Amino acid sequence: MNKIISRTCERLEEGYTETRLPCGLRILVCPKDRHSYHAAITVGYGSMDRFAGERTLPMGTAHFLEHKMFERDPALFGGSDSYDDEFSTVGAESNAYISHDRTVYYFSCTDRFPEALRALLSMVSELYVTKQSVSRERAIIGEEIRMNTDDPWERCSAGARTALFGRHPLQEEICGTLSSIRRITPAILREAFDTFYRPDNMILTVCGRVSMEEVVAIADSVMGGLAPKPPRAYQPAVPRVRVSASAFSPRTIRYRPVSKPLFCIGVKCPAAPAEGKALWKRDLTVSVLCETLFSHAGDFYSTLFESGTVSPGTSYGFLVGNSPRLPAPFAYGYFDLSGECDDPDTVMDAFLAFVERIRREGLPREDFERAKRVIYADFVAAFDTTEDVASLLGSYVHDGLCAYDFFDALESITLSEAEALFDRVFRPEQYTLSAVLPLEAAE
Amino acid sequence: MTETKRLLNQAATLRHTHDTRFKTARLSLYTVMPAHAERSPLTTLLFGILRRGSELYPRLALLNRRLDELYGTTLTIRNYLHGDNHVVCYTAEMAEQAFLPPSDAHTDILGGVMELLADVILHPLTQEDGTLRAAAVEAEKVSLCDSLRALRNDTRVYAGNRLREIMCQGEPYGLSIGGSVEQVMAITPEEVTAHHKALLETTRMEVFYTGRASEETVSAAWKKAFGCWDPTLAETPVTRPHTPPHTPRQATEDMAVSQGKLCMAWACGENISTLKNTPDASAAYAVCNELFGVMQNSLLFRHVREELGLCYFCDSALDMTKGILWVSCGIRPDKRGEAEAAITRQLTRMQRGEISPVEVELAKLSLKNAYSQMGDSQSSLEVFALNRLLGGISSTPEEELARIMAVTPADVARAAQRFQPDTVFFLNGTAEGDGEEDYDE
Repeated sequence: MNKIISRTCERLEEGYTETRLPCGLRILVCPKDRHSYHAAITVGYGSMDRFAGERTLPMGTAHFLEHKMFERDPALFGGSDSYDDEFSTVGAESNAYISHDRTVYYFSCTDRFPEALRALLSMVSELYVTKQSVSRERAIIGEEIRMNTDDPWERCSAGARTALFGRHPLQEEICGTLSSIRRITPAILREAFDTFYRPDNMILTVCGRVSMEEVVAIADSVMGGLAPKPPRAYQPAVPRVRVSASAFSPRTIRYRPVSKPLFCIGVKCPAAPAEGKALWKRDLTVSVLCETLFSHAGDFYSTLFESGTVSPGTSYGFLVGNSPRLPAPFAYGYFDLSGECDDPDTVMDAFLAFVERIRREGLPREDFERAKRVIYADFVAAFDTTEDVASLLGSYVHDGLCAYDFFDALESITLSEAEALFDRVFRPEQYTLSAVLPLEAAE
Repeated sequence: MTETKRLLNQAATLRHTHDTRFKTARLSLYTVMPAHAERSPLTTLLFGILRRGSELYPRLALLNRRLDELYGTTLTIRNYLHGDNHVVCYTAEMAEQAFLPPSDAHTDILGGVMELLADVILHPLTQEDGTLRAAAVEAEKVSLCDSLRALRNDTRVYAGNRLREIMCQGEPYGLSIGGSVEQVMAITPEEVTAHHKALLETTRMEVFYTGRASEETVSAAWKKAFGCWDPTLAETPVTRPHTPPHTPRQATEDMAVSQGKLCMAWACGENISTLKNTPDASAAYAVCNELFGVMQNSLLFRHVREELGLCYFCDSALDMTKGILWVSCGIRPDKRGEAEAAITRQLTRMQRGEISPVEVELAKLSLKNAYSQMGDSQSSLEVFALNRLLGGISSTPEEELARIMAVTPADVARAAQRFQPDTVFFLNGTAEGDGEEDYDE
């Protein structure tokens, strides 16, 4: 085991430790006096990672694998074919989720933590699939795809992503499509597993009444025997995706059984820095910038809401990302603003006018300072539950960084930095409007 | 952690929990009133209007800016049915002062939040004649009607609502608290103003606070902000259980979507209040539901999803304010019969006692996990306390858990036998194709 590094934060009255096992597994533990424990293992493999060695994996492979990781060989486990049995037996609640760049498996429990952690680590260390079980899972995932296809909000934001990113893997459906999952076989799942489910591509985060030493002992008993693997090539031989700084399409319309039109204004962001502190700072600066411009306390939202142009619930989101697993042209980032309205084009016009006004007049300092307070409070609140802490440690901490550096990073963001980023992000050639209109509008 | 209760005035009670484990404090003001076909839409509309601005914060932006200045305090308003009651709840989650930057360490966040809430609730913007601003009333009417129409956009929620409305037609629990579009559009500013005054004169407010401030501090902040308000206490009726029909009901609606939503309901004819003196029966119902369709490896998950591959989700829920067991699942429209039979088969298994002691133990462990985690969540403890308060019972989580752990397989079978088929609602997907969008890899 490598040495244990301690991180503490006086302001938050918090602390955590981190280390790495010889097999490459990174471990972060935050002791907390709560009834519940939460543990999460983050695998650096998401829906964007379509390239395993020389092969391109079918869309939806990472998500399919996430479903199948809960399965195990009944011959070795007294007839039990699922890790669900293991978690149920110790009273733990487990699940998993996947995004574009990672898959996360987790559990929470209040008792028998060591057994639950052992089950979690065993689950991500081995793959057991059969032709029959893959076929059965295909039907289940098919229903998940149909559910998403029927979701008008999902269709609206997918329309914006496609218009922004063309054939970039970021715009692909995380679950895949009915046709792409038909091509997923046990052999493909095995290849994806062997490529990405490696201890050196995983982070274990734990929060609860437990010490690093206890966690390491358990992790060592499950993964300690695994030898570090040589690095694998993740990049395709030739990048096959057209890359452009501009949106591919300025406007996308879909028709669905909705009562009122939905809109999603997408903005393609320039490539983020590759890793570490710079990427983190970019992420925070985008947070502050978006909160400054589009919060419910700001002029843009309140004017549109009070005039009845948009419905309550209009919200923004953004993704600032990069991945050492992707070649440079795949670096990504986008911002979206979505909600319900009577006329999506009117909202788009208001957005364009607002952005031009900010370009002329600059960001309002008062709004900028207020946004920093909101981001500060959001971060502080994330230390209230074991689940949030484990999740925060897994997603915020990059190599060499300490989660508590957040405060210095936030305080260091200046108005001029936010304005400089505004100029790079909000450019007309990077915008798109996606709308979902009621079926009657198509007639 | 210490809990105390204090009367703030004739109609308001503070339930205070001193807890230093969290970085944020939580303050909730619940107003509870009987659900009513005419008054509930007025209430829903009123609380939307109040959120648009008040005397001190006459625009929505100013109100939201004040919340941001109070270190990103979030204000959530929930408007929902709790059995036969209509509940409107304001919840503020605010950073504890101990964790603010040193330069802001003396900001009185709790006092600021109380002042804002009192201004929103007691001092709305009015016209010269004292009527709520017509422009705000009209804008909120449009917004409420939009949200009523938009209920169809989420097919799972829509199907669940339709099931409840059909099943509980004629009961307060079967109402739409937002009313209908026609009903809302006919409301006048005078009507909603009169409704506001009536609510302020006679109401019931339950105040919950969890955080580092002392009971005296919270109480003083409330009195400073709400001191001018002195209503009389409105009695809250106790919810009656739903009675299953002699002949189960069936209903189907078509919608142009690819996945159908199957919603089924059973009723046991008992509820949290009627079981007040037999709490062990309540525990058996909870275990029955957990095993049926809640726990990680529930009967519905294992048999309907994993074995038959019929759906992605198939869950159950138990509402003991009315004594109703619900199931919801998303399926291909042509699989309706198969899914309905498979779900019914699992309940029948429980009714026949064809469940092993191990299965029941796993369900109890799952509930134990949920109850034990409750102590880590301000919101879970608050919801638990409110449910017991409105149900007229006073058990603690520890007492309920002890009863759950004593439940036997025979108790579960008896609980399952009490559930009679009530209503099945199917939202039939009629979209052409197979849910596949055009996609070029």
